[in-house]
Amino acid sequence: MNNEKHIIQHVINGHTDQYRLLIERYQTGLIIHCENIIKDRQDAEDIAQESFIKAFDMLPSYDSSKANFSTWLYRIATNKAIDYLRKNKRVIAVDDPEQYADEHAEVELFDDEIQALRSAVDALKPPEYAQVIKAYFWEGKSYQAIADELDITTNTVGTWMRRAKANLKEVLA
Amino acid sequence: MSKPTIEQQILAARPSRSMQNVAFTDAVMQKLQNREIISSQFRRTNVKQKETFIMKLRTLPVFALIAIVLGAGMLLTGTVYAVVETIKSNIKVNESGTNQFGRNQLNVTMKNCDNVNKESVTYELKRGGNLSTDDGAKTLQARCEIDTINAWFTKNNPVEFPTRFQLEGVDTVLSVDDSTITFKKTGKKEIAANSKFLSGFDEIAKKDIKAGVKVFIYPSAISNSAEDLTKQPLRVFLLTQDAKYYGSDLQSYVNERGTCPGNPSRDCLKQSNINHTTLVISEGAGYGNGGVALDFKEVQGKVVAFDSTSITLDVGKGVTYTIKAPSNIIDQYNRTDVYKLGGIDTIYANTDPEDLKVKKGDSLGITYIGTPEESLNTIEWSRVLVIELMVERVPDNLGVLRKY
Repeated sequence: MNNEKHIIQHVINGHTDQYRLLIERYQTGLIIHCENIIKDRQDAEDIAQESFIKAFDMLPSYDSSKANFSTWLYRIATNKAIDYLRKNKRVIAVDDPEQYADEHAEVELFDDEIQALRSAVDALKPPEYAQVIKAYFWEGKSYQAIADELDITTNTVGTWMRRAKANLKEVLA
Repeated sequence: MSKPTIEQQILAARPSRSMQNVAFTDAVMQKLQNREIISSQFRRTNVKQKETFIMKLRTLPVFALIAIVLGAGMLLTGTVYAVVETIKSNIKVNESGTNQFGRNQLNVTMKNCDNVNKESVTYELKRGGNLSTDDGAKTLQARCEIDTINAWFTKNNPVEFPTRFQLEGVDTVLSVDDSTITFKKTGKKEIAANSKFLSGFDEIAKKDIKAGVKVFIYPSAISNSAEDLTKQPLRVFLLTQDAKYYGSDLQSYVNERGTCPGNPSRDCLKQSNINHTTLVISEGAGYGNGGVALDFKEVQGKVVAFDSTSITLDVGKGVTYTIKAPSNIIDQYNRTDVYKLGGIDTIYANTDPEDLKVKKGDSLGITYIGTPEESLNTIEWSRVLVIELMVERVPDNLGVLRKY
């Protein structure tokens, strides 16, 4: 993405405030990624924050010819999440951190694919399924925040989420 | 490449104007802002340059920042007596005055900052920051020490490079005994094996760390609050200035001026900290250069005129630059983009969009591409990478932006 390369170059050149554009772009996915590894939302947000800071420090060494920024950022976050699990003596379910990060980093879709997916989300029945998908993946809300908003339990959020994703998979297959 | 997971697909379809977790973004940016070390040298240095820099370190004389602590701190039943410090400054002010933009500035010689010497460097003091020349020099002395600490970590502990190099890391020693040091803010720390005591790049003896001295300590209480760091090796650096001079506020009030990147005949403000920023007015067409290797170039200047075909900038010393444009991009920006910003960012939300509209006399930064040797005063749109409005955070109210 030319614009992203430009932003990165600008940040390296000292326009640090533009780093917020990268944070805004990737924060939701990165928090979810960390949450998937460590199974704790609050700690996932902390690790995602630390990952953005670490990435900022390492930005001069980022080589866009080797990996896109998303993949590189996800590798940093994956390693940080695993370090966290190790320090807290928790089970680490990731065999190969680099491969795991590469397989979960954000991707770009073609415009028609994006439109198809958005339409599929809007068409989910019941409409609450669409609500939880949008709230979690697009608005970056936690299960707890969604549960509070919809006055349901976090378990129900999880159930709706699983069903919604299964429906989307089926529709988009 | 395998097919993206459904989660990846959903994320990729996120509308660009989705509600943002502004608190998260602000928290990260705040942490970056709070970091004491805003090392423009470190950030601007690419990997190749960095290697060269580290290689140079090996051949340079040992770093000579000397903060000789002459006084004796006596600890008597908890009472700390002040120490007397003799400070050898790394900063020599060559001259000070007002520059062509009406801002106060000072020209300095810097010795052994970041282990390098600079003979004549000009720093501009932020408008409204109310810094005296003396404050500016002390802030630069603090920056010199910050850069040196930064370089030390880069060279010796790149893995443990502090990610929260913050004002809170500046502390005062209350007492020292054989096995512990007690700091004013960080509290009591054990002196674990491999702890290091430093003055710049030079290791000093533990006995030089006396009650009353100002230090940067890593890990500090805020380095990583999630861990018990009590028994981790300490790195304790002697400092020479009051804590405020190491803080992001004052550091951001002193900004380097120098030749523009890729454009040595022009003078630019080096925007090396997040207190100084830019708003993108328009991206140009300069990326489509067919793979030809061209340099990034920058120029900054005040808007003299703009219309549907070009923007004219006064870049100083009586020189004007003309940037060719396909339309009146400043007018388009004024009518639309400034109003969008408040929806995605609290800083812009706090700022009146009217204050960010571009008028004649405002400062713009142009990034464009060109061959290393050429120096053109007319920049075709096909060469333009981006046109930006130079903005800064208001002193004492950093949550609000104003035009530079």
